[in-house]
Amino acid sequence: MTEPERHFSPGRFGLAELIDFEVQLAADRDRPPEELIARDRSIALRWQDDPKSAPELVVRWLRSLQPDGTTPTPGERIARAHAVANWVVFVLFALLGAAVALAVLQFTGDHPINVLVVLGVFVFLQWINLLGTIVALVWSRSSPGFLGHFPLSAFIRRLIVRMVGAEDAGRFLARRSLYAGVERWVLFRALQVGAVAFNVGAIATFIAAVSFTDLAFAWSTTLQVGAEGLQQFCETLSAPWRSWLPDAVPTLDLVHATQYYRLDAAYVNAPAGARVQNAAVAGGWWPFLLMCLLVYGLFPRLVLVVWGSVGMRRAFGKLPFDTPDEAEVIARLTHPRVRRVHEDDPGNIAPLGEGHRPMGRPQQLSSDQPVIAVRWREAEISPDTFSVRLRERFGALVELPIASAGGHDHSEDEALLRRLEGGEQPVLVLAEPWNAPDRAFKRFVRTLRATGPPTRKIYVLLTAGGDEEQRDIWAGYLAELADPYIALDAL
Amino acid sequence: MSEPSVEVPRFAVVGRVNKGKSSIIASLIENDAVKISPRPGTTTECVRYDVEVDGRVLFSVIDTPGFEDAPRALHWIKQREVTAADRVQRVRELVDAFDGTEDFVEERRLLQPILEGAAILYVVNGDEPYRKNYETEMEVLRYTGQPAMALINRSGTGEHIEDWRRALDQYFKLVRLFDAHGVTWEERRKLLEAFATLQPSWERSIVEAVDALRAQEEHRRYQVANIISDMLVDALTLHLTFVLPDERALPHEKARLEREFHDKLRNIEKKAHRKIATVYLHRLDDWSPETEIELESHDDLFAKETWDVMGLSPRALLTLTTLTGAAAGGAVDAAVGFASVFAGTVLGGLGGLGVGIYELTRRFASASNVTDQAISAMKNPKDGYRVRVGPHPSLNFPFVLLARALDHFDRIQAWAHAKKELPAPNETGTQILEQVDASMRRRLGKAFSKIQKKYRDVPRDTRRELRELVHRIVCEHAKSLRVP
Repeated sequence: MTEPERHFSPGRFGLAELIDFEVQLAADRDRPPEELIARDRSIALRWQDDPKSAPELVVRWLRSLQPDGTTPTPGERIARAHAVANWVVFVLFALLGAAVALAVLQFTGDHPINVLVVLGVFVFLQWINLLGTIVALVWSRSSPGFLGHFPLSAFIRRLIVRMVGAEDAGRFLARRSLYAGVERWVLFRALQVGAVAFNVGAIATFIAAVSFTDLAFAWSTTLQVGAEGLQQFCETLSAPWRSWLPDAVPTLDLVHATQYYRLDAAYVNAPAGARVQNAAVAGGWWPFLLMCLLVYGLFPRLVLVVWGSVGMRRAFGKLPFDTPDEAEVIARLTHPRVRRVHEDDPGNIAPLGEGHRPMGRPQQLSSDQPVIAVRWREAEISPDTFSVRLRERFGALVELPIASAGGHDHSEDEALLRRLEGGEQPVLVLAEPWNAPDRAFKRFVRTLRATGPPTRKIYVLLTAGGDEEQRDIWAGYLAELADPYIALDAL
Repeated sequence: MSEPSVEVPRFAVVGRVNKGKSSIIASLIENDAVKISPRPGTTTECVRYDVEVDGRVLFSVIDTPGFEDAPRALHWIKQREVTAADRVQRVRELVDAFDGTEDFVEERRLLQPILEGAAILYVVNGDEPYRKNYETEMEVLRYTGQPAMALINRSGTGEHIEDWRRALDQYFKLVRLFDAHGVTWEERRKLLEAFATLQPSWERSIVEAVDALRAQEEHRRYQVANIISDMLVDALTLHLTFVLPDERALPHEKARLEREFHDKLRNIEKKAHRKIATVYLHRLDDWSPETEIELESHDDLFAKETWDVMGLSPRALLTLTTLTGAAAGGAVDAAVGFASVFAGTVLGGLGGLGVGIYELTRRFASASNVTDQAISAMKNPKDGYRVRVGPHPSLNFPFVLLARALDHFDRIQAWAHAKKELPAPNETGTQILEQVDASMRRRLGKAFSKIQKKYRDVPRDTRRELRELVHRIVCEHAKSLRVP
């Protein structure tokens, strides 16, 4: 099955694509960024080659998002409507051109048609109009929003606000203002198409009138213009075709013969009663006028249509796609998608010691029974200092040597356990606050319990240093052991 | 989650309990999902964190339970050791021998991924003194024969770093410092690049991952610049129109209208600040409920203290307005072929100075003063008495917003994923915009002024210019990151 024909031009960004782009941006606005990144990056990874420009990238993206080719996209619908509107404009302006030509070429037989009026309407007025259009085009480049100040634009803006609400309208109008560069070319081209249609209508009417009626042209002016002067002027106007179409250049005789005074309704050089003989002469102006219409009316407008088309295409092609929304789309398509994926973490983050009795403080010990002093994880203290402190603090007599547990040499742990076997001596464990209690410490306590009576006093004494949080960890951890014969204090 | 292929570099983060293994992983791969708490043994199972680029896993980091009984494990191994060649086998035997028992639970779990081929990242805390018993852990790890690297976590004072380094150098090919609570992108990048040196066959994957992360980081800065410039445009163009029954109602309603206007400006700033946080993958919505997140600065946007610290200093403001005036006058001088003998420049400069002095008085202005400037009344017999508030007229206002946004960006960048609290705002009293060079400030001033003038329809070019300026400032600013 072949893909149905799309309205998209291959790799080219046009009106349909622009509308679809805006529609897609609006649709994506409230979607989670991660979903958009996943969607767009997977689209880009399917492409065989890299797009050469931002517009091409966006066009490909839009196509990929609409794989169903049977339903026209909003952009396609609007582009079709725009094409139809162009044709309507063409027909209307052609009819307008025909109507103006009919009015100018109206010949009842009373008076001949003034050549200067024909030139004025179809050459000079059009050139003034043409000049105005070009000035507006240039002006709109430096002041892109100036068209918005026209009453019609203000009316349309108010209408949009009423239809969709202030917020959406604001967003729409803000986005629309981004395309001012494209908008001016679209408008300019549409006007030129209209102007071409106007000239086509006028020329068709002119040719029809020349072909099917007898027109009499003359020239007449209040100004002091002689036949020589007018002929010179006409010859200048005929410069583009004079060399290859000399019959379409009015001769001095023709100009002389067709000077006309409405006051006595007579040609200047015509003897009384000779108007019928001059009819053929009076018709001699038409090739010149037709060429004027073609060269000074139709041709410039055709050139401007081409210019407008090229300008419009270039404006679409030069869209920078640099607003944050647009840049985000491009980044989603061109940047690698980085994800952090992880397994479920069953980690225990319950607060320590919650729901347990707080730790009790150590009591004084009897000096009759020596205590076993243990350095946990090689807590740093000299044996003498340790013994002296324990005696001062708890009145305890320390049995030497000071033992070690949890240190680098596990045989010391084993030696300690042998010392404790069957005895009841209290055990005073010196630990450094930053060496958080762990399973090994729990196992150590369990072993102490296993080697002696469950009422053996175990005092955990924390060295200086560390911070409050580290001390709280010890307190919470020991509280969770729920052993009433364990106490905690700082040494 | 599927098993990554054999070639995927894997790094097992190991160490004693509560030494910051999980924090390092959270900060290294920017993942708020890593469970971190002061409870010893928070991590009970090995948890694998994959970094995927375009659907391919480029490397994995494995969080492990902490070493708890390494001396006994080493003792067990040494009792059975025959030669160095047998050591790996002995470690395997340790893992297998106690399978299904309650013994060596943590050691078995943390050694398993290493025996399956993961490289070792051994984490110690540089704030704590070195003790000989750590050597048992290093020995056990060395016995596995896997490539290894040590990380000294220097979240605090780091006073024992040198002791640690001397010890670790003897056991590990690489020793690096890493601050899990204040890590910058550059530090993360360097660490990842160091990973590549552990195993030459992994280099390609790691380099690819670093490139992708770099692209992501650059894009984030671009996104932050966009958020800030959009916020500036929104704030500078904000204007509200209120309808009052008649003119007499204005004095009674004035304070309310002004408050509404300023509240909207505050909201614009707040929304932008939250967006910046989400750019850096900080998940604000599902943050654990017990954690207080103070995203916004405590100082109000319109507080005098805010304007004292943020925005342009008086000297910078006067320089800006004077130079702008002089430049405008200079253009007039140039237009008349300097026949004016620089009178335009001098007069323009003086005029600019005057404007600057006036702006200084508004810099500390109360909200009502600001609004007085912005109120315009348009009588409409049908609709009542219309009052407009805004746009904010102060020249310094956008600079204050920009400085606060940069300070917030600082805090977000310094907000490591291992930390639950956002670092405190800049309270050093130094003006953050002093780091922005004068010509850049002038260009910003021009852009702000254009936006304020064309507040109804800000031209695309002006928006683009502002975005580019802010992007440059953000990138420069990111280089001089303040790590608390």
